[in-house]
Amino acid sequence: MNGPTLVLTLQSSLTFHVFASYFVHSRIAKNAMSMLKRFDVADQYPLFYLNYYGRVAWRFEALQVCADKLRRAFEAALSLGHVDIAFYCSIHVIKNSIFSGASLRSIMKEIDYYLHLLKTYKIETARTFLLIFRETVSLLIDNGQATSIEATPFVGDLNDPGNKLRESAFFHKAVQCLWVGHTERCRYYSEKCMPILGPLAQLTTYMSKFYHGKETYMQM
Amino acid sequence: MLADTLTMYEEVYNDEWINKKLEDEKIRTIAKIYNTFVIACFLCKPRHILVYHMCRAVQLSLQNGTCQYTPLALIHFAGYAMKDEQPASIW
Repeated sequence: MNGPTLVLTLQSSLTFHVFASYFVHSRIAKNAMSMLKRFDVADQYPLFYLNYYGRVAWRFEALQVCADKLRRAFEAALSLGHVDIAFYCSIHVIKNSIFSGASLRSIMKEIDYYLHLLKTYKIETARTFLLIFRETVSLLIDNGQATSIEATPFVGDLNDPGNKLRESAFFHKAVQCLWVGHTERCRYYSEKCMPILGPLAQLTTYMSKFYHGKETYMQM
Repeated sequence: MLADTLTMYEEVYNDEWINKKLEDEKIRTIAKIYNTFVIACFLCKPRHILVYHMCRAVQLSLQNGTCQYTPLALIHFAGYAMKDEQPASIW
């Protein structure tokens, strides 16, 4: 077995074993969902949906379903006045839409809609994340020629370990580099973001591993 | 603390626990405060502080019964416990 194949095999087997352990946590999440219906807690729905469909449900639900439910959570949170939760939902909507293979043009429209709303609500964290996503989508559509905008995400010092935007910045750089054709740079960024993302726990971690594996495969 | 809470959950979770309502208003308020702490700790506090409050919220419900804050505590626990799981411990 050669080097890259061994890397891919090890990553796949590790992923399989980690998935097996997540069965327990998925069961807890499903139990929580069934329990939620027993209580009259309309104001908790957006936060619950954000955690359930944004963090847990991608393991056992279709990504399109997660995106739809999070869209509903976004609307519910906005109508209830939970603006922070609403825009966290919007980030997860975009993430799930991209990974589920939705039309890039419609994702772009949706991001622009959220950015338009953020002119009123002024949540800088959400704005930065959405701009990072927008940059990637714009690059995937036409290499940023006609769809890019002047606003750029401010990600701060990427060498600072306390910078919470590092994982997102490195991950998106890896994705962008792969599709532009800079495979070496894709490898560099995916290897940089994987230790920050930590154990296989988030959708982004799996996607990062996927892009790292894809880059390795392309070099075989 | 995560492992302890998970063990406690496996021992306690059954129909009897689900039907046991948490009537004490004081404990319900404490559960609400723990849930609020978890949300506040998410972006601005170290991970272990978040995990502590999250596990305390779940343990409180497991010991005393279910209330309107239990589903949120459980979903936080499910979401964050997955993130903290170390792959090495699975081999």
